[in-house]
Amino acid sequence: METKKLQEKIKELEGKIETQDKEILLLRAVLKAVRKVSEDRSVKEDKERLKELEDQLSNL
Amino acid sequence: MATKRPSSGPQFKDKIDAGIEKAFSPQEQLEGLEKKLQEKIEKTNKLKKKISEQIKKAFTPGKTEDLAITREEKNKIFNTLNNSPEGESLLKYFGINSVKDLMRRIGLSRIEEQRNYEHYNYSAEKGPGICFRDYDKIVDEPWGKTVLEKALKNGPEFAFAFADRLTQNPEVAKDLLIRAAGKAPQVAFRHAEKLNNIQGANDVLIEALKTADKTDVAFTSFSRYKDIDDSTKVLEHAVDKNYTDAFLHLSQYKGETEASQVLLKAIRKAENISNFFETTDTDFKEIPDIIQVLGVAVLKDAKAVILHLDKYDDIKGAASILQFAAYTEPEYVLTILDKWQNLEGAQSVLLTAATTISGENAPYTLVALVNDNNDRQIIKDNAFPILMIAINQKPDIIFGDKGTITKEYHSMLAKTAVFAKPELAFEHKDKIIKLENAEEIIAIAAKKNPLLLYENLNDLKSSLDENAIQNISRVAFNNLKPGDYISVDKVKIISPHLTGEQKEEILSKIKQCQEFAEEFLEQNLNTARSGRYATKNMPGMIRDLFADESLQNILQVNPKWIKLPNVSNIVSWVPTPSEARAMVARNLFTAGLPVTKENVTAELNKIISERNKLTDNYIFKDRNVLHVAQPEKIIGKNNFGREGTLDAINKQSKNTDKMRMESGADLKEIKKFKEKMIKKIADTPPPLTYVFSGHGSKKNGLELVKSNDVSSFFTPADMARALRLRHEKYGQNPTEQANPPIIIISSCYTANYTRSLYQKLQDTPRPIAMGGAEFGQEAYGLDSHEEFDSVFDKQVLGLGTDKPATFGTVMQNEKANLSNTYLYTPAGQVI
Repeated sequence: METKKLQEKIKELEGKIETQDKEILLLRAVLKAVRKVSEDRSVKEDKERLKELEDQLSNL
Repeated sequence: MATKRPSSGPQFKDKIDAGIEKAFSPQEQLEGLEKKLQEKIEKTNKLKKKISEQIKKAFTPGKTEDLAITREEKNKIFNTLNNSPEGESLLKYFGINSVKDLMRRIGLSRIEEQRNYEHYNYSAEKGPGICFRDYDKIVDEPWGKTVLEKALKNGPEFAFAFADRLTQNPEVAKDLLIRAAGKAPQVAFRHAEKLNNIQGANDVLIEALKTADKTDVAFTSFSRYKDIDDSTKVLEHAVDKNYTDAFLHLSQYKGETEASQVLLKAIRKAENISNFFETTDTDFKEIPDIIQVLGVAVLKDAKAVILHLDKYDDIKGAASILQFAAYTEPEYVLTILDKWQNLEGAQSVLLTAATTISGENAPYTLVALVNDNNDRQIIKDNAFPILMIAINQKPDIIFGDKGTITKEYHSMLAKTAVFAKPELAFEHKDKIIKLENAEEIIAIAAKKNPLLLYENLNDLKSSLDENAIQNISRVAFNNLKPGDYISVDKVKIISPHLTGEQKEEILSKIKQCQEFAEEFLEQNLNTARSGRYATKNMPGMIRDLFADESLQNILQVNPKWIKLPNVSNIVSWVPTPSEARAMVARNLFTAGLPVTKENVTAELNKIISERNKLTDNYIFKDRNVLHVAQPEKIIGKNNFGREGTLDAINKQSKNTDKMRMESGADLKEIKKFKEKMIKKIADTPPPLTYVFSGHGSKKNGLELVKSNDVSSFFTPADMARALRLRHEKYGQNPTEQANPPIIIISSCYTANYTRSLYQKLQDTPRPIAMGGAEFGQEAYGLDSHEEFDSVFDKQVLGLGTDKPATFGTVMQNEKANLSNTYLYTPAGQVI
């Protein structure tokens, strides 16, 4: 009886570990995508937007 | 044999771990697994932190103007995952179906919120424009309003630069813009086109105008904001501040539908409208309703408008402008009209000007105009109508020495003169007999004043043939009214000229008049045969009654047509039958309606309905009372405006303003008092009840103070002027419209006064008027020891009781001892 309980508990923990593994995989993938996105937001684009804003402000 | 390479990654390691684990006891295995899970959780947290740091690193607050991860970028992250088989299965595994789910899963929402606050709070200080640009994104955040306040403080002008982006939460947007307007008024107008979708944008610009030191921008930038709701209100406010700009910048808004409305306001405000024409170089045809605008300008300064009228001589309606001018500057219009004589409507302008000329000498001026200007075509063509106007104003002029009238017009003009003043037919009999239409002229006099014809009939017999005399006599007989035969003296004048049949007819009518009068006096003056009235004989009272012109058709009102409702309860006051008959007769006479059964029934229903409508309305309660009393003392006490009357009114009213002149006031003081009173009648806030207590005169009206001069009377014309001014001020006020002024006059001949007042008011709405003396009757005060001025005050108005007076009170008490009440409403007489 005691052994059976322990085995169930082991199974449960194994499931949790599997989920955690998947979550780690997911977060890795997200981190990769976030890095890509932040890179995509190029300095050039930033400059253009800044310029646009400056133009608007100077028109006030 | 090739060795199988172990695959890398956690799966392989885990397999090894699992193999090892199996070598351990279950308890040991469990502990190992727990440790492992803990490690993985830590790893997960580390990864989340890494993601968070990555985001923060990439989008540090204040570093760029656009800190937040955009929706596109979030989508990109989601799609990157979703587009790889492994990513897709992971998303599926965790039940992540949307970008939102993913952001929540990786803890980005919270990070973003905090980051947004930091970013916008920083921007509000360093670059407030960003906050207004992203207004829609931040206004509903918990910190949104605080940040926007800060941005407003640091850069109010940006609120206008980005006003078109302020679409969320319109109330907050309007409030921000209104406050920004007070700080940056000029910018508000420069960016006004961005206010098109703002609810209440006109309030924003009006607020800007309040602080702006110059108003021209409101006109010059009108095209930018013309599409906002009630945009012209902004211009009207600008006009209030500086009307000259409205003239100077007319070209900016001349084509707009409401341009004339703005211009009208400016013209009304302008001290000198000639600069309007001098500074304006605009094509007037483009201003809608320009005629109306120039019409108002004409009322202000006709000469200035006419002087510039040829600039716009092709505008339709130049005649209308001249027509307006003819009312204000008739003499001037008559001198310049030749220039416009070919204009359609010029004749009407001429005749309006001729009619409007006033003063004692006006008729002579008109005769001279005709006589001295034979070379002026327009005058020559209209000589006859001009002379007609002169004759209408002063009928005698045709027979007098002053002002010679061309003979060719005499026959026609004599008809007009006699129509206006029948006695002229007999005073100037010798001249009239010589005219070809003498019989026609005398018949006019006979119709207008039959009694006068009978008085002069013997004289005429020597000048006219028998046939003509018979015709004229018949006209006179057919037009006899009760007032012409109701006394013995009058019958003596008429009867020698009547046929036997005519005599019988007149006798029958006299009998009917007497019956009516006795019934009327019995039902409506229950003290007719007692008290002070006993001093008057019955025939005298009947004569007084029929002196009322508006009762002349009384016999035509069949008593059988007077059907009154049954009084089933005490509050339904109905008039007595004779009173109702008299009221119907008077109202029909005043309205110029023929006496028919239908008209009588309709008028009667109107009277009953008016009475029902008024019953519960208060006379003093909740109203502002202006009480004017004549300064007359009896045994050292005020005869008018006694303590009891004034206290009772004061107690009931919202406010009571009392006025009384000093006895022995000189003419200057009388004039000043009168003007003050007119101003008070005009200015007292609605609802107004005006009370006059003092003597009344048949001829002049209300006696303000004993004096030998006629100016000491407050005439119906004075009252009409006061009410006209009041109407100008409060005519559009809903309280005034729902509660018209009430005028109470407890003087002699007060009904005469009211009737005359109603005539003089013309287009001005009539007040409700009542008093204690019917037409031609006197009113009676109480003995000097009494605390109320009159029976009317004490009993009819019920001031002697604690109950607030209503019209129902008056209806209930109208026949109280010695009172002779009447009540007129704008619809006619109802008591």
